[in-house]
Amino acid sequence: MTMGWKYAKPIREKLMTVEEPGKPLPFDADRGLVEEVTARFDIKALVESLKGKDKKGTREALEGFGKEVMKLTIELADGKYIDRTGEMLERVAKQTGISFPHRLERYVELSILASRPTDRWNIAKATTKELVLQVSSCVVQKAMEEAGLKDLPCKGMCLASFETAAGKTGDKIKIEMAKTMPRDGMCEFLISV
Amino acid sequence: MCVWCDQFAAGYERWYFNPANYARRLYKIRKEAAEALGAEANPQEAGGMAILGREFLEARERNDYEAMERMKREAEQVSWGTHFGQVITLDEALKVTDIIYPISLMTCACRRSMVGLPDEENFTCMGMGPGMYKWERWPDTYRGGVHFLTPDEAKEALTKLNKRGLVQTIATFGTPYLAGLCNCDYPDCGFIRTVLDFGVRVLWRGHYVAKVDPELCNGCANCVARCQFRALSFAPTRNKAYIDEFQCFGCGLCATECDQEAITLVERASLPSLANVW
Repeated sequence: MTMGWKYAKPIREKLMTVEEPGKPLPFDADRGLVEEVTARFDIKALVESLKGKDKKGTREALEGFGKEVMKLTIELADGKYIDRTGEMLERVAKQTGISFPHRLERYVELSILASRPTDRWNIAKATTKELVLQVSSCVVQKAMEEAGLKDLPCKGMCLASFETAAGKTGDKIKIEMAKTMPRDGMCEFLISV
Repeated sequence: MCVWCDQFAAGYERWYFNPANYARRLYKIRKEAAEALGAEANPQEAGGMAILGREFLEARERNDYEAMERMKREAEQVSWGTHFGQVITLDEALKVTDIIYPISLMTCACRRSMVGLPDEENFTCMGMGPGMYKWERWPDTYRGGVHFLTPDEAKEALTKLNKRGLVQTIATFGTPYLAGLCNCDYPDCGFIRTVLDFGVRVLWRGHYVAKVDPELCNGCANCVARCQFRALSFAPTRNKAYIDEFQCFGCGLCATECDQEAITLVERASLPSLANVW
């Protein structure tokens, strides 16, 4: 079925125009979101709490932390600290019927910015099939090294967090890790639908 | 291989098939009010609609070739770092729609400024990638509004634009970030005008060169009007289309119009005399 577009003409039923010309719109992540999430979730305290825990307990603690960070991020990002990028992204998803990757990417990015604002990371791929996130400097990894904790399944924290976001967006995702820190110098998450 | 493929293809066949060149973060932490208002990174400004100023025309007027060459080199350096285009074929453009999201149909800034086309007759350009979620930040650039298309709808629109006689080009906004899928013609397009009229390479040739098979060409000349690069002409004595391969940008518009299938696209890299002509 074609969309019936006439050459060079607008498609009236799909056209978005500036709603309130001149009104400043908040496109970036709100500092308040970062402040509230970092105040509630302390990475150093988490890592301290892992000392003495067995593998199962450690994994559960990390996964639980990741889930809770994402839950709070979603709550704040869609409520108190809603931003225009998020609003537009939802409108676009409604118009095209395509959710992935950006609805999920939004929560993933905001949760990292909010809970680990000093991390270094990058989106290396964002198609309607795959999302690739590369984290090259991670405060959790650093804190674990400093605490002398090695070979801990910290990736469980990120994985649980991303899966929580996918639960919210309704995307049926599969996550693979092509690279992990410290061995590869970065964690690379390949999220696909 | 073009220098952009050398630098940014990362194993993909072409640099514009590398999804990394379309991917960017959605967010950064908000700074001060000026930034929220969109004072930085205006795509139209990045686009360098007037990459050559009055000084260049004045130098041309007085035949000051040294000054012209200097200004051309400077303009090219700025363009290649911030905003330049490369011609791609329709098939390549269709392939690109599967690795980018979102895709928006919007008004063409070139047609607006070059020929004063009203918005309601000017929805011929495509913006793409995560930056499009922030289109309201730059209302002048996205004048007339935007609509977002599915990849299939984008394919339909591109095919229609190609049929109409427009060249598909891919454009950077902060090289190698690709965010423009333009549909261009002469004299509307700033890229084509700048490269053809002033010899400033803000638009690179594509990876193909068109060739005519004289055995198949029936001399209808339908292809001639399709060429936006002054590469195609009609040779009356031979009653055949003629392509100046050194002038050809490899868009394939002539080939998509030829009922006789007399025009084919050949890999530029396979032709020793043209392999380094971009």
